[in-house]
Amino acid sequence: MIELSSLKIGTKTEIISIEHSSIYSKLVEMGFLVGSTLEVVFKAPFGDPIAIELNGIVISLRKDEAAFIKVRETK
Amino acid sequence: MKIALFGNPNTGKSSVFNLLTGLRQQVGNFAGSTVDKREGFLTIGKERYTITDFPGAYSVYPRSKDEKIVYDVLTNKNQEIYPDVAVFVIDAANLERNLLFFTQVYDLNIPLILVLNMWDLTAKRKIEIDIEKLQEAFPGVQIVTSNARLGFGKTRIIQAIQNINLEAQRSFFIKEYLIAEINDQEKQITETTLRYQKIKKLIFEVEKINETKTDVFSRKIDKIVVHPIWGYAIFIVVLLIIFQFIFSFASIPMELIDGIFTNFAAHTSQILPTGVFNNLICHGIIPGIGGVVVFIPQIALLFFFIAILEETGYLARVVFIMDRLMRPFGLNGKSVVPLMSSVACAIPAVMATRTISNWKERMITIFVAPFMSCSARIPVYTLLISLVIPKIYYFGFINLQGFVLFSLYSLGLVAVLLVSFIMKFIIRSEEKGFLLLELPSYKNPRWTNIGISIIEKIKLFIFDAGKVILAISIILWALASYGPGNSIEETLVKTKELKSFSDLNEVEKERELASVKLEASYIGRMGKFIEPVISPLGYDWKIGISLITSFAAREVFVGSLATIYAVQDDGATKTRLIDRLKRDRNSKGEKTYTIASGVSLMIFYVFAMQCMSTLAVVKRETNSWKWPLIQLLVMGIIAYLSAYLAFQLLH
Amino acid sequence: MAQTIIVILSIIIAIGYLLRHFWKMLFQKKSSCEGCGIAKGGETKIQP
Repeated sequence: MIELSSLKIGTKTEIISIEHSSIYSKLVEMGFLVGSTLEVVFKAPFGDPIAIELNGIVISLRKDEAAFIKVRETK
Repeated sequence: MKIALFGNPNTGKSSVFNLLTGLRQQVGNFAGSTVDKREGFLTIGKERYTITDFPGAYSVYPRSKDEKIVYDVLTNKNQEIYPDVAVFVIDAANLERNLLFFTQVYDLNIPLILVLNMWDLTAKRKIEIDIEKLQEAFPGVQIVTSNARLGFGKTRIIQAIQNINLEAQRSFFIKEYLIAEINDQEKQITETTLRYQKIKKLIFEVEKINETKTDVFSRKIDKIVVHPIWGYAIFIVVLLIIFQFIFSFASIPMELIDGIFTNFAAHTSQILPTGVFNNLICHGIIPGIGGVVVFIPQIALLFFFIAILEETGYLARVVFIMDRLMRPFGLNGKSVVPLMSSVACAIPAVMATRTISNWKERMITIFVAPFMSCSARIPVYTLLISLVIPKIYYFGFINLQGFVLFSLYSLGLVAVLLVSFIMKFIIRSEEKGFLLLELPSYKNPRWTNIGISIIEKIKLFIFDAGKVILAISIILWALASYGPGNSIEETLVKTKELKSFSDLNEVEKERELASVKLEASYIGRMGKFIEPVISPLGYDWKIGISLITSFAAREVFVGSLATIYAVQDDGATKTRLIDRLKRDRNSKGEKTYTIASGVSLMIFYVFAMQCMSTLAVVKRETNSWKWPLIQLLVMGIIAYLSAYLAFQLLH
Repeated sequence: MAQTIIVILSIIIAIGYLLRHFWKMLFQKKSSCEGCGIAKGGETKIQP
């Protein structure tokens, strides 16, 4: 399990689990589901927030929000 | 028949709305709430349909005020607002996520039409959608494709509306669906996960992606826009361009309009029979209104730029790169939008804070947004700068006047950051803020749409704000032309008897009489009453009056001055306001408007609480008088102290 | 004479209009600055 926000741009990942938090339901509604593919597409200056692509949509996440999403790298 | 438009944000729902209603739309609000409701009409043959555009939502279950509207409407079948037909707009290139909300609405058994919008993108991104298979999954729903931005699909959608079967009983996507209680998060999450599982299976059968879904074009642009150096550089350049347009280039049409009004007043005063009515028109109404109309070119440009930033999708990127910088100040990246809107007007800015879910971040943003100089202050700044700041150029092109203007805006920004920072420690909150923002693909702005909407807004401005300003001009004129009892006649007689008076020439005599008359009028008395409070700041009573009236609406400041000085002047001469101001002297015989008093006044305006309207909106959005009153007080104190300092230092 | 009447009428109407306007603004739950074009012009949206 790796920190989503520490990954390099271009890395493709798969969601393993999502930690419960105050934004859990919002994440789920926006399509963050176990098994979905996430690609890290770019990062803001200072590395925070980051932008990921999920199902063709680009969504920005703060570092601490991204921390709730546990992923593993895929090819 | 009532039609409602639903859909995720960024699906082109508003384009569909515009497509169906043309310009026959109006904005109101949803009952019991402050969320804007867009309503329009569509007439097909003899039938007239009401179309309501609901805020975009990702699911029935609300995570923000906007989304709550949708929840409230859909959970109560007995309300008047409950639609007869729902038109659901989907971004065809993002079927999976869009289907969550769709299947929820489907399960509510409202007669439904599915619009696969942005259909052109599916071809571009090599996504194939099997519409027939999709239809099989949702019997009873008419499915049409469209590309609303370019105008395609209107006929198909209209046909679907006409063919709608209001009685059709339908199946459920999720067995016998019942909307969960608003607080039952567990149930909501379970339902959502269940839905997504089913949707995933459906997608597998219905959608085929031949390449990747990525918008390569947007991705390339984003590489630069989000770059640590280029990103901010681009942002600053964009701001500078907007600034330049609004302040330098707009001056041409502005001077034109100013001239027209002055001529008009002089001309009219000769046409109309002399008398009170003539006075009212030429010294009250025309200058008052003219003082406002003059700023339309600038306001139009401002709207224009804001519209472009939003339409192209750039605004979301600004939020993205500014988020990290805003957080130390207790703000959210999303605060950037209200702060930028505030440069047009603080009111939509305060309303724009609805997208910030965290209460503390939202409150702070609401509190500091008015520090950003709004467009109503532009007339004040422009007038004062041309009055007291010399037209010097440094190094050949840096304009001192422009620089001062820029500094005023920067001062506002500094205030925003300082005050937010302080408030961050004063206000307590346990909740954490979040960003979680969708970055839409870059799009070309819809030029005609923007053009039309600007014209509509200007019209609104002229007629609505115009009415208020007209009313104020009339009242002001009356207060300036009449005084209690015989005070005016008496003062005039007294003045004529003074030795110093007979020494003046004809023209000067006229002016002196007019000036004295003004002082003896109601408004003169009011102004003189507050003069002791404002003279440490360098202002005289005439400025004092304008300060009071401009609380009603900042634009009125210039209009008030125009009225006051027009009343004072004989009206037949075509003197522009600015020349009259330059000439003005206070009771000590010194010039009223000097660098010291001018700058002090400018600074006062940077910090002082805006118009009553802002006060009203803050009260509405925060649901209490506490916040707006504190705001009024704090801003007033900061304004007074800063202006005092400025005056004393420069004097 | 007619002139004075018109003027007085205008003043009364103006006062009445303003009072009503501010009353509505402060105490009613109407959304947005009643069609003040500037307020409409500054509206932007990024999703919730």
